[in-house]
Amino acid sequence: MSPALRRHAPLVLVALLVLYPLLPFLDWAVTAIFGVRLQLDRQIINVMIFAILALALNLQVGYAGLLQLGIAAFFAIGAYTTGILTVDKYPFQLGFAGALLCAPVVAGLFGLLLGAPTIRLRGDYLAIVTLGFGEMTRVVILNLENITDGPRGLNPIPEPVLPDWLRDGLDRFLPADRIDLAAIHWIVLAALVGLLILMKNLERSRAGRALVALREDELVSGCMGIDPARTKLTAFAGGAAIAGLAGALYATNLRTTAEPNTYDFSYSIMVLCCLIIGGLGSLRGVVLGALVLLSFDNLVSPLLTRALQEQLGHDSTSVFANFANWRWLIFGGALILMMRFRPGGLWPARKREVDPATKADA
Amino acid sequence: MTPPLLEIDNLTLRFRGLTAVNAVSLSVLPGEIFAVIGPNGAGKTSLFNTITGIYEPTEGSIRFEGKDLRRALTRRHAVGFGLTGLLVGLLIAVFVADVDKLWSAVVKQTYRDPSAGWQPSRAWAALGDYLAARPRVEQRIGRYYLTLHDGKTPFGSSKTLAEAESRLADLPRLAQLAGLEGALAPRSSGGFAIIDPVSGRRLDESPYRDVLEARLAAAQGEPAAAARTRWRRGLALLAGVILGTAGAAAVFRQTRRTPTSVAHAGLARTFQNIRLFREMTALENLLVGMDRKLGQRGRAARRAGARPALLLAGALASLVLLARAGAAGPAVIGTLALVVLLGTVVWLARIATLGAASTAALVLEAQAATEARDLLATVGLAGREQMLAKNLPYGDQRRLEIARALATEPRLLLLDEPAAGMNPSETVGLMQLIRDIRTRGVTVLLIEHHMRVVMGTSDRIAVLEYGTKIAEGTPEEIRANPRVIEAYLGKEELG
Repeated sequence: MSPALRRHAPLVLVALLVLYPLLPFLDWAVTAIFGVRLQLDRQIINVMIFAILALALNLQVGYAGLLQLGIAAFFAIGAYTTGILTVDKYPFQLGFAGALLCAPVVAGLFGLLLGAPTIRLRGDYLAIVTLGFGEMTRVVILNLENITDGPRGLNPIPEPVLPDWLRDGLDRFLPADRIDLAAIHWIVLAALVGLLILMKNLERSRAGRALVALREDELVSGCMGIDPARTKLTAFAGGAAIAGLAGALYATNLRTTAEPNTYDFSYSIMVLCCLIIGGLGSLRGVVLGALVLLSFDNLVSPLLTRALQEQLGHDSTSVFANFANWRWLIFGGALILMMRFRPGGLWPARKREVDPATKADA
Repeated sequence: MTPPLLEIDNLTLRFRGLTAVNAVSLSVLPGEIFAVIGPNGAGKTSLFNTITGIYEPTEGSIRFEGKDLRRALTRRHAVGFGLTGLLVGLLIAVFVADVDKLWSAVVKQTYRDPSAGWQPSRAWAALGDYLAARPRVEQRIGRYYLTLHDGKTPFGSSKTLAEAESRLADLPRLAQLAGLEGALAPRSSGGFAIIDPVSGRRLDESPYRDVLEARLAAAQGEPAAAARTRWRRGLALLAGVILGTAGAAAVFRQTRRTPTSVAHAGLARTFQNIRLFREMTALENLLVGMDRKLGQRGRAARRAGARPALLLAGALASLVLLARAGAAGPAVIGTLALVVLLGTVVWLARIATLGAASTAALVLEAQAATEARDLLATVGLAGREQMLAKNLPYGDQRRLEIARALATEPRLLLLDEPAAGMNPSETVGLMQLIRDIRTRGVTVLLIEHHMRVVMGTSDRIAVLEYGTKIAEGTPEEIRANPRVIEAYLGKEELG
C-alpha cells in the first residue's frame, strides 16, 4: 500500500461508510440526471447476499477445513423456508422478520442432521456426501410439488416492511419502489456487516483457535481436550445456518424462491470459486471474491456480450457471441492461474508471522 | 499405602498378528516420576497411545484415579440414543407416509378458505387422520372429494362439503353392504342405486352398475388396505427407531475412550516427534491447551451475566402484568402494549446480556493470556510468546510442547522422549523442568532413551522389551538387573 493511500485510508473508509448505505439513492440520482439505469443498486444487493453465502462456506471450508460441495442445498433450504413461511397460500405468513429468524434455524437443523452421522468422515468422503446432499436437495425440492410448487417456485414473497415513521419520512422524498429497494439494501448490508464482525470475533476467540488447531493437527487437538467431532459439527451447522440466512435474503430480494434448478451443483462450485479466488479463510478475500465473480456475471459479461454482438453483426445468435457462455472457461482458467501465481487468493489472510529479527529491532 | 494414580492391568495391544504391547501391568503412584524404557520397538509409544485413547486396547484395563478411563454410559446418554432413534424413526415414517401428500392433507386442506383463518387444532386432527390412514374429504378446484387412504377417489366429487362428509360417514355402512345380495338395485328412473335395507336410505346412485360395484368394492377393501398402510408406517417408524438408536449407541461405543475424553479426565501428553501447532504463536499453542478451562469459565460467566438480565425482565413483566390487571381499557390495546413492552424489555435484557458476555469474554481472554504467559515463563520461554511455533529453536519447541500439555492442567503428564535431540546443557535444563513439574503436583510418566535423564529424575523405572515388561524397580535395581543389561547389550555368548 502506498504511503499516500495509507494516509488517506481512514478518509476513504469514512466516505465509504457514509456513501455505501446511500447507494440506492445515488443510483436513483444517476438515473434521474443522466437517464441511464446502471442498476448498480440491484447488483450490489446480489453481491452482498452472495458474500454472505460465501462467508457461510468460508466458515465450513476455510475455518473448519471441511470440504463442502453442497452449500447450495442450505441456501435453497433457507430460500424455501422463507417461501413456505411467508407466501399467502400457506397459513403461516410470518412475514419477513419471522422468516429471517426461522430460515437459519431450519437450515442449521438440516446441517446438524447431515453432519451428525457424517462429520467423522475424512475430507474427500465428506466432500462426496455433501455433493450428494446438494443434488438430492434440489431434486427433492423439485419433486415435492405440493409443498414447493415444483419448478414454479413459491411466490410472491412479501417485501420487508419498514417501520411506519421511517416510511412516512422517506415517502415525502422518494417513490415507493425506491424505498423498498433501500429497505432490502439496508437489511442485507446490516446482515453482512454483522456477520463480518461476528467472523472477525470468531477468528480471535476460543472457538476460532480451536478450529485453527483442528485444521493443523486433529489428533493433537484431541489430546489437548478439544472434541474434534463436536467442534466441526458446530462449524458445519453454523455455516449451514448462515447459508440459510443468505437464502432467506435472496428469496426476499427476488420476491420468489426461484426455480429449484437455480440451486444446482454449479452454484455450489461458484461459491467455492469465489472463496478460492478471494482467498480461503480470509474475510476481506471472501467479500472481494463475491464482488469479482458477480461483477463478471452481471457487469462485465453483459457489456462484453453487447460489444461482441455489435462486432459480429449478423452472426450474433451464435453461442460464441454470448459472453455468458464463456463463463466456466474463464473461471477455470482463472483458477488455474490463481493456483500457479497466487495460491493464497487475491487478498489472503494476513500472515501473523513475527520474525525474531524484526522483533529485536523494535 | 496410597492408591495408584494410574493403574494399567494386563494391557495387551495387538495389530493383527503383531503384539505391540503384551500383558503389561504398571501402577504409577501420585507424585512420582515413573520412567518406561526399553530398546527401540519395545512398544513404549504404543503403550502411551493406548493410555491416551489413540489406540483401543485389545485386552486389559486402564484405570485413572480409581476410575476406568472409558466414558461411563449414563442415563443422559441412554436418553440421547432414544431421542436420536425417535427422530430417525419419525423421519423415515414421514417419508414412507409420503411427505408431499401429508403436507397437502395437513396444511393445504386445512387452509382451504383463507378468510376463515387456520386452526392448528384442525391441522393436528388432519395429521392424525392422515397418519392413521383414515379416509378424508379433500377439496380440489372447488369440488369436494371423498379421498381414501391411498389418495384415490372412486366416489367422485360433490359440490358441497356436507355432501362429501355424509358420504364419508356412510363409508362403513357401504362396506357392510358390499357383500350383501340386493343392496345394489335398479332405479325406477333408470340407472342403479345402493339402498340400505335396514333404514331404506339411498346411499349412492349412478347410471352405471359397474361404477357402483367398484365403489362397494373400494369401501369393502378400505379398512384392510388402510390397516396394511398403518402397519407399513408403524414398521417404518420401528425400523427407524431401531436404526437410529443402534447407530447412536454404536457411535458412543466407538468413542468411549477418545483422546479428548482422556484429556478431559486429566491426562496430558507430548509427542515423540514434536507436534506443535506450527502456524500458531507460542502463546496461542498454550491457549489451545487451555481450551476446556476457558470454555468452562466462559459458560460460567455467561450464566452469571444472564441471570440479572432475566431477573430484570421477569420483574418488569410482573410489574406490567400487575399494572394491566388494575387498568380498565380495551383488552386488545392492553395486550398489544404488553407484548410490545415485554418485547422491548427482553430485547434490552438480551443486549445487556450480550454486552456483559462479550465484555466478560474479553476479560477472560486477557486473564487467559496472562496465565499462559506465566506458564511459558515457568518453562523458560518468557519473551517468546509471539513467535510462531515453527520458528522456535528445537529445545524451545520441546519445552513449548510440555507447557502446552501443562496448560490442560493435567494430574498425570506423559512425556514421550522429551530429551530426544537435545544437547547436554538443554538436557540438564529439561531434568530440572521435569522435577519442577512434579513439584507443581503433577505426576510424570516418561519414556526416554537418554539414560542420564532417566536415572537422574525417575523414582521408579519399568523396562519393556518386545512389548513385555521385563523389569520394574528403582534406578539402582534396574541398573543392576541382568535381564535389562541383556536386553540392551545382548547376551554374552560363552564357550
